[in-house]
Amino acid sequence: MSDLGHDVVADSTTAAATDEELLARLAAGLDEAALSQLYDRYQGVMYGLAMRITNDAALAQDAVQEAFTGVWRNATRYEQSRSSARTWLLSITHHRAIDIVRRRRPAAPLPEVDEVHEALTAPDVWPEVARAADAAAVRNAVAALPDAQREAIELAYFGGLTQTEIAARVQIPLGTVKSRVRLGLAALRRALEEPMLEEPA
Amino acid sequence: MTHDEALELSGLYVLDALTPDEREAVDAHLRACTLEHAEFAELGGVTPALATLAVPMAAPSELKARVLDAYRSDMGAPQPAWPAPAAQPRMRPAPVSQVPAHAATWRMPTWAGWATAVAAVLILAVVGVWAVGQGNQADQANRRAQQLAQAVAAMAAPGSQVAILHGSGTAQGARGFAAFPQSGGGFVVLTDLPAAPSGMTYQGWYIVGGKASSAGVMDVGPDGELIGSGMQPMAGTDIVAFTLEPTGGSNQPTSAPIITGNLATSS
Repeated sequence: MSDLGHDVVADSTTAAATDEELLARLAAGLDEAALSQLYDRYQGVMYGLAMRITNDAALAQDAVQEAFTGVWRNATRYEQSRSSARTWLLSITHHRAIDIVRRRRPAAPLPEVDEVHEALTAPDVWPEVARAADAAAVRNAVAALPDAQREAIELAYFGGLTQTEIAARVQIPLGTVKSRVRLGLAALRRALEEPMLEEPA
Repeated sequence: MTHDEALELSGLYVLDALTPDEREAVDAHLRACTLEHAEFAELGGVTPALATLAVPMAAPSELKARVLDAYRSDMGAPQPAWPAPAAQPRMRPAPVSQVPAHAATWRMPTWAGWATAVAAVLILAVVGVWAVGQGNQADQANRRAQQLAQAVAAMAAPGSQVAILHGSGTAQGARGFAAFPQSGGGFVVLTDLPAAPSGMTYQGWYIVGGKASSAGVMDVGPDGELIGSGMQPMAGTDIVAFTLEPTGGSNQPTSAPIITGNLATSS
């Protein structure tokens, strides 16, 4: 965020605080009210994502709780991530849920050291879509992918499988897993960008 | 890892589908390589959309209390959690009628000995139960044990304000203490506390001249223990009390206190 020319400061006491303001308050120190508001705003999408990945209410709750722990412990790092708060919260939730799923499959735990996945919190190159993403549009775009690409992406993102595990599950070479995921994500990106470009009157 | 090898892993990387070793290899490449890696950010930008495929679901209502409780525990003692009341001089001792001026000197060892024993039991119970769980729970147990140690240290520190807490009514049998060191960041520790009835929560109060100010709502752990940290009493607090309030807490007590203790300054 540029700090040039911002002489108008949002008054957080009168207007509802933005997500980014709430994260800044968490970064500044103990602020239970800020956490409470963030929780109320995001518990639904975070819990839904965690349930989709863990398929277990208790594990999903653990994932959401761990995700919030990651949020308050890393709030000072949030600004560096340059992504929207929603993207950041969901990527942490995803990481924690995948980690929990993998802990139950001892083969490939995620590293504990990094709460925040660098690439997932990389510049939000696509904030319009990330924020306004219509679930139906995303579902259509995913449905339009070749089956093999969709399967690989879903096994990775929702199944928590590593590339090696996907290769074993689908019985394809590692190189094929890599290319399917890469091509599938690139196609999704193109498909989801199109409506934004056309923008009918 | 070559540049091309790293790029081949871009999709799997942004989906969290690499092992720790694999990911570290990619990270190392990204740190060292000066070539273009925009593909990582481009593909990473798709993952927020994938997250929308998961249908939002309301989390169970108790999860919020759990998250906030974990927050308080995690943020607890190491930092000056609550801003000290402005221009608060020294907290005054409890009224003479309740605690004789000399009482603090002779009662102090008793308090310390009693509370140390309670804390030791609590630490064993908490660690014993939670150590069998996952690493996350062991972390929580460690934090709890640290908090208890800090609470006992706070109580034993010269000049701390201390209240020995006793339960009555539905909380008959509950015991504990509140300790507010001069350095700020006070604690309350209660044990043998029954779980709050459904829809209710324990809420602490600072009583100043018969008027109550909230000390916050607090959750009872699985073993009937309650540990609050980062607490800062109102200036002039005579009594620390707890009531049962509707979930979320109240602005003023809506029921009679079931746990109380007089606050006195130790020497």
